[in-house]
Amino acid sequence: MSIPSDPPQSAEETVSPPVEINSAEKEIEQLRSERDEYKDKYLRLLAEGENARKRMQKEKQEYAQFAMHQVIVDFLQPIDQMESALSYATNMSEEVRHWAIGFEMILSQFKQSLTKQGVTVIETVGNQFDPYCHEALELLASDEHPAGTVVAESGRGYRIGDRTLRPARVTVAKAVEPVAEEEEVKEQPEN
Amino acid sequence: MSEQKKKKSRIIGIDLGTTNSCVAIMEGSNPKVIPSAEGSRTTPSEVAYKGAERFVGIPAKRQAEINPENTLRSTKRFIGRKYDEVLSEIQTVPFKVIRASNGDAVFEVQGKTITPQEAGAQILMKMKETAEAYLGESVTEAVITVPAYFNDAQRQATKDAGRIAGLDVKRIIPEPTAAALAYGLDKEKIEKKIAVFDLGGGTFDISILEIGEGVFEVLATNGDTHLGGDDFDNAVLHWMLDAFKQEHGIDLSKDKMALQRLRDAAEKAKMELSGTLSTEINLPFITMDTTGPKHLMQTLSRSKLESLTSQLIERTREPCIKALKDANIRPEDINEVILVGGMTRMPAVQAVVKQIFGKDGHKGVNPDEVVAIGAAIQGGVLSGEVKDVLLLDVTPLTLGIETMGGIMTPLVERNTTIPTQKKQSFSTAADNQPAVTIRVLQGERKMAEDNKEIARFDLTDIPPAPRGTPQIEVCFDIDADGILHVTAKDMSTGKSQKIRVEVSSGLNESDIQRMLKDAERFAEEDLKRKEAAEIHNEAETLAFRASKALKEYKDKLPKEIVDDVQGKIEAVNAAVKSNDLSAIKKAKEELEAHMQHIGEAMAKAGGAAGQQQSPFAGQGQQEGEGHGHRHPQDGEQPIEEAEVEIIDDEKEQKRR
Repeated sequence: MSIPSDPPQSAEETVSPPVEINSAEKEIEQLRSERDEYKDKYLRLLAEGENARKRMQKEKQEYAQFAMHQVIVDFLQPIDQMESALSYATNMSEEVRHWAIGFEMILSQFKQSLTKQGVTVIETVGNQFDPYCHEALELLASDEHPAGTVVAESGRGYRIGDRTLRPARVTVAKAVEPVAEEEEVKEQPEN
Repeated sequence: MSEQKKKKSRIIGIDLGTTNSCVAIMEGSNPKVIPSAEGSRTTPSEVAYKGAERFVGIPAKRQAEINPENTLRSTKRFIGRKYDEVLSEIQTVPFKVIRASNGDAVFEVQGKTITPQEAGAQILMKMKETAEAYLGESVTEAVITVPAYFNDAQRQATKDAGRIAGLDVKRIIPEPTAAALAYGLDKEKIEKKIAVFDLGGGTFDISILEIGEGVFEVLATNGDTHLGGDDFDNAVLHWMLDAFKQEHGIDLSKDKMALQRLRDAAEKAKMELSGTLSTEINLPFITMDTTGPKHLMQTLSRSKLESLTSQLIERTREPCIKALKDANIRPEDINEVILVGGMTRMPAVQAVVKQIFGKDGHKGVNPDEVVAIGAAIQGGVLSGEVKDVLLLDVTPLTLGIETMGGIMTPLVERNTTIPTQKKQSFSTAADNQPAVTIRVLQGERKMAEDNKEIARFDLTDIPPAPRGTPQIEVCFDIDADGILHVTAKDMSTGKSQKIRVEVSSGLNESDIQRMLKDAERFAEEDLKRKEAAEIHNEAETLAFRASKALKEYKDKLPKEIVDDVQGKIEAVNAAVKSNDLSAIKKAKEELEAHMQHIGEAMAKAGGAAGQQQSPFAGQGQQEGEGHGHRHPQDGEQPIEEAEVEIIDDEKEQKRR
């Protein structure tokens, strides 16, 4: 009876355990990296949860403020109109001027409510034009005022704290030009 | 064994619009628009140069009027384009556009050349800063949207703008696709054809998309590059000027200050008329002449507005028809229509959309922000965030247990994202109660019997103790697969019992909807019943406590007080039996008041040493101190009806 020649037992034995060990090692390796990935994700998620909570807190405060700002801004328009209306009163009769004084007082009460909230008026005429708190309507050639300064205000601007609630509407000075040049904005020849 | 630490980066979504830009980011599974430092959710796409200064966004807009040659706006019309391609656009802008050596259209500002990419980069930088200020961390990656008709050069140039701004642009996606993402249309299982109708600040775009298996394909685009909200404002403005001229003979267009006020009022009126049928435009003291001050008082109705702007609205029709033709489909083949851009808020515009496509446009998402939101969603998908979150489920209905009085006490509110775990402490309702029955309920109604019982089990062998003393912690744990594990544990003995429930086996979708509707319908009724049950409970508990106190201190108290309180106790018991709510309330209050006498008498007698708080004052409080002994139970209740009382300190405070 011939025994088929198998590879020697010892050789087989040394081959298979390493394979098992290798695959086990590989699995451990994989599990380790999976575990690390989950751990990382978990910690980041926790951290993000904390951060989201903090952001929400901050936002809540900001929204409360914004809501208030919006209400204040809505009130600014009628206050404006009233001011502008009263400015015309100086040219009116004695009787009208008398009434106007009363309205001035009411207007002043409105303004006091605003001041209480920390609302201040944005300075304009004489100051350098600042697009962070002024809105420019037009340029006015002037040799009395330095170029770039505000010469007139057509709409009052307000600040609350250091944030611009509503920019002031202004007219800005430009240098008087000896010869008026029109900027050509058509096709330009190649430079 | 090096593991690649995946740097999780937040990818922001930016809608770089012609007139306005917007930035958004994913917060978990929700996209969120980030407001700028000035508080606005959109930022004008404008960059201005003045001497050494540079302004971006709102400040740039504010000085545009006096610095038109150096204020770059609508730069999107020029990005990635050759000079020869944009000759007509150049006519419409006040700043200088020149031909670069490679033929590109570039700007000349204060003698220097600025490319549209650089201009775009300034705006992108502002959006980046806005996001960073909000997140409190640096942002380096973004998804940016472009019109569907942008060619390679335009897309690349937009990407370059991103790079200049310090952003790694992970993807450039078409605006209509972003809008579709915002509406979750990529989740559809079947193939769909979508029309995106985008009428925004300065341009009108119509796109026909096809979505299938999560992939979007742009079939056709068309539009009108100079049609937008400003044109509508101008129509109203001219009407106002004409009317005023007719009435007062004054042309207000010459007065810049008045004109600005009129323009504001026109825009405001236009927006209001999307919600109301008529609005008043009041501009007192708009001007003055020799006869005195002049006021502008006009009433604008929605129908008048529609007739003033009908030509403009009609201009959207032709491009839509052309686009459908190019896509080779009929209007009926369109499955969904999406509305993008502020002007789509106007009812007349929505009406035209319905006329053309035969269906209403989706408008649930803010039309000014929908593109940025879609970009943020794409960013979330790319960063892997959204994918994981979207795998999370929620509980469709509230889960809780039955407590004393037949009330349902919720432990896990509906719509809670799972996996989750919620715990709450309860106690016994009767002295020496040996067991509690945990009835696990699912539903939105306030009373236990109106909800569905999905499981029940008992926790037994509770050592004899006065009612309200044992601490039974009930824990609801729902794992990621939606399996609910309910555990009840006696904190003093450590003994616990648990049960496993497949929550979904409780109800199906239509049941859920019905439950929710019922809960709404019966909300008021349920509340009343719950309150009645609670008062009932409180009264009973109080009577119980009072009689215990009497038993304990009988010897130390004068007879009148004992009799008095006894009488009040009996009154409460009678009222409880009668089920008359107001009688119960009244009797309870009287008992409470008269119980004070016990405390007073005890204090006088100098007794009750070491009793810091009157054991009679509260109900359901943890009171191990005063009642160390066990009383013979009055009526041991069978296990099935063993009720649970809530120990909820917060609630106790409220009740007081």
